[in-house]
Amino acid sequence: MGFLELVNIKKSFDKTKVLEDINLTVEKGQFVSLLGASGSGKSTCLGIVAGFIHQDSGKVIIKGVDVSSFEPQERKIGMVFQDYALFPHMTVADNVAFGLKMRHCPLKERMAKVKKVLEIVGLEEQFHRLPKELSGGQQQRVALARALVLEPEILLLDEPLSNLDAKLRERMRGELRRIQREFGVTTLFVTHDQSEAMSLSDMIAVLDKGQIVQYGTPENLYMEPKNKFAADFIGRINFIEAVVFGKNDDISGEYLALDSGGRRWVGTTVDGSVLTKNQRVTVAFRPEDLTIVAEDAKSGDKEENTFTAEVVQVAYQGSFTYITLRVEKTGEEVIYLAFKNLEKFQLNHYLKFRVSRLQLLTD
Amino acid sequence: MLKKFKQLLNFIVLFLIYSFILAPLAVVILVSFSESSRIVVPPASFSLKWYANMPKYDGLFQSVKASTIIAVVSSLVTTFIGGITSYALYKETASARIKWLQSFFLLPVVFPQIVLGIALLILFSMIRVSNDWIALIVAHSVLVLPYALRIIGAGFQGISPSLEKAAHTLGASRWKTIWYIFVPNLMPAIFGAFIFGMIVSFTQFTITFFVSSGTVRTLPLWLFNYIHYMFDPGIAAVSTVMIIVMAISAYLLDRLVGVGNLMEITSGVKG
Repeated sequence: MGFLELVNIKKSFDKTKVLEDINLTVEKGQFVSLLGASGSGKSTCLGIVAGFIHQDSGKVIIKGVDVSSFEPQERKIGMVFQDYALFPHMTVADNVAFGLKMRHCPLKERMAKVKKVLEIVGLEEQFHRLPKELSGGQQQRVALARALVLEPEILLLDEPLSNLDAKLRERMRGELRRIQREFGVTTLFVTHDQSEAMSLSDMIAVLDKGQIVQYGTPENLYMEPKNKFAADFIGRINFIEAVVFGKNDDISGEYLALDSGGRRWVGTTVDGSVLTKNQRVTVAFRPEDLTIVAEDAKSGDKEENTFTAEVVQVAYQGSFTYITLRVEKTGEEVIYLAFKNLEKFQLNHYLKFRVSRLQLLTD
Repeated sequence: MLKKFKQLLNFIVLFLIYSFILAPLAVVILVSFSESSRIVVPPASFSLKWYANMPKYDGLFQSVKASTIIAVVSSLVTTFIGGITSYALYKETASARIKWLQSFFLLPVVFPQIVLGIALLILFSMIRVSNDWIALIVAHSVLVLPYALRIIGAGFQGISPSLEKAAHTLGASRWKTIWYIFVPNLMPAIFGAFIFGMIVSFTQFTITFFVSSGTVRTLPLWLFNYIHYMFDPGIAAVSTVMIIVMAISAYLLDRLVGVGNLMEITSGVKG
């Protein structure tokens, strides 16, 4: 049994289904991201865990206790809001002490705890400042300190980094994870930023249209996306449409698929699901799983998992370069990652590639 | 050169507008220092005798006292009702009837005061309210409530909804959230509503004239009565004191909520 469990959560607003049967298990001390576009239901999910929104059906279980009927103040959660929600009329210290005061913590103990937590987040100098006198990053850390000083069972973060500028956001990511580890607090993090989710999380739940599309480690999500949405949402990926021709006789679980250009693709499905002849599939592969096998154009694609493509765009990024290629005959655009020897990638020049690792996705 | 000319033009126009607005007040103040017992502008000679004379006026002190009591009580009542109603509206922000309700609460301002006065007079005689104090406090509260609602409502608009949620996650109950979060952040709006209510009530004539049976006489009623019989600079002296008190109130109001905000507030439903 997990530390935090969402069981069959459903929620509609005015007949619009926002969450359809959400099931999620979070282990103690884990940092879990709810990743999705706006309207995916991720914030509603967080609101339900916090107790601001009541689910139509299903349960929220914290440490084995069904807290569905509990008010937010009874749930032992800490929350950091997108706008930080610092109390503007209180100093940093008073903001952080507020929760302790509400819980009737004696003054002396309160002071000691506030001091300690402000040291951890690196704000011991800002004790008597008002929130408006602090920078965005500092405000964010006050909000974090205010939530953590109560030693909550669960920490909820609602896009806390989205109001910071790009450089600071990067730095606060590391800060956030360090502080979360220091407290060992089980954390649920809502974000639309996949790179944020990837770099911070132990586990990521990808949400789309009120459903969890896939739940796994960042690596698992990247390497074995279950469907096109999950694959496309996390990292860069290439798709080529194809039709199943049959099983690969040599290796069990492998299928042979043909694209409209007659190229042969051999690969497996992610969860070992069975494919039938003439079923439409998407051949999916990451840019780094491509290797150049021939630099002379139009040598034909007789071998399986190879294709010829034309260079249509070269986007220099510094440490690497995105090469956009147009696949011959079928016309899909795919991305290749080049680290050196950029002179090979002349516009309108044809190259032949092999895909070393691919998956057949059914939707 | 052109810029200087524009600045000069600006200054002249502003000066004329302010003169137009303030000239009558200036005349009243000027006349109040006159020595003659007839109203002549400008006065031939000056004295403070009309101010010194003020305590002798029959019923003036009583009427100031009555006006003050009615203003304070009705303003307290409306600030309280305005506060809790604004809170209810704030909690319902998402619902569609909110705009409708906001417009509804503005109605007493939109109605001609004479209509409101007659309506209240009929109502009070129907339900047999014979006590002038109660009648006047209720009548003034009806008139003042929309202002209180707008001022405190605007105060609520400045409070992020996440503050309330944050307070709840930190363990504050609904009442504690009101006390520790809403009230301190709304303090300027609450004081502003109170002072503005006092001004509206204190200077109110039309409705008071209809509702009062004569046992309680407010300052505007006293002034009205006085010029019926006498037309001397005494009335200017009383008016001058009133102008000064109102000017101080307006200054306080500006410091608390800002006159700019107030204009937006009183000019109608936002958005």
